[in-house]
Amino acid sequence: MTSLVCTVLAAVTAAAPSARPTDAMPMSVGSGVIHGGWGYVWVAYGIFYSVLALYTVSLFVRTRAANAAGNLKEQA
Amino acid sequence: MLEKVRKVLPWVGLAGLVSGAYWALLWAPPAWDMSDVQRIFYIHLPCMFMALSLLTINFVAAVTYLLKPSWGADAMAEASAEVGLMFGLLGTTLGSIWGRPTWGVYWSWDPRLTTVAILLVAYAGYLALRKFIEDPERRAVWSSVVAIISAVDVPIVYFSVRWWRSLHQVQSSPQTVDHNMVFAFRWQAFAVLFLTIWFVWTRYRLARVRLAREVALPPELPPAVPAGA
Repeated sequence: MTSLVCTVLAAVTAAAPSARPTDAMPMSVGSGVIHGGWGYVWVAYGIFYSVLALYTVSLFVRTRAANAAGNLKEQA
Repeated sequence: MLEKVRKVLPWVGLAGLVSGAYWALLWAPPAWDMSDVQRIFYIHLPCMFMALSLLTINFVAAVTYLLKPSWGADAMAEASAEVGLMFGLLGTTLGSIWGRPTWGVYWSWDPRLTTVAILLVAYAGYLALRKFIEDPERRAVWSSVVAIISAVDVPIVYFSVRWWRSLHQVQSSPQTVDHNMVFAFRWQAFAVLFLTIWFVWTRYRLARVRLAREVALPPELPPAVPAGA
């Protein structure tokens, strides 16, 4: 499971343009200071907002199902 | 009144997250050693903070149920575990992405990450157990016991970076971080907190509804009819 997640993350971040060191924006690993790396930031924020949105949708769907069954209004 | 608060909460959280993105991505200064990659901190830490807080609430609810059984405590245990696990998985994934440019790897079996992995597996098992047991009372008792055992790992996760030599940094304090970073972090943390309260509240209502329906169900078999009746 962990290796699968790592593989997916590697593929996603490698695809992001600023995740790779370039002449315009080097990422000097080894010097103790990191430069750039915006690709990782965009991927992280994208996952963050997507997961929160998906969980919100799942709660809406479940609430709608409970409402359809006529249970939630009684509970409220 | 409470219902109005519940309806406003997600919008407050959403507005906080949208404006928080500005503070975190554009306004806060980059870290001197990690540069812009450090901006993942503003979403990683709130997620892990919510996860550990909710799993602590899950522990309190489980103990409450065993001491004084109530469906409210059981529903709160279920809601806090589900939302806590979601934030734990999300925070760990974000930390993993942050780890790649700073540590050179997405994952390392160091004490902090290992104890977090154990915690996530334990609570995934907790939720699976709740799905498998049909009898509400037996489910509440068994899952409370599992919740209490799983909660042993929560303080271990928190203190692991202090107890053992870990790749993961120790907890930061506002005194050691730029005040602009502290502001951006607090803004994001409160936005996530509002959203978390709404998540748990909504999930708690759903759990109460399901429990009420289960408890109201008639027994599976009709009572035995005496012979000759």
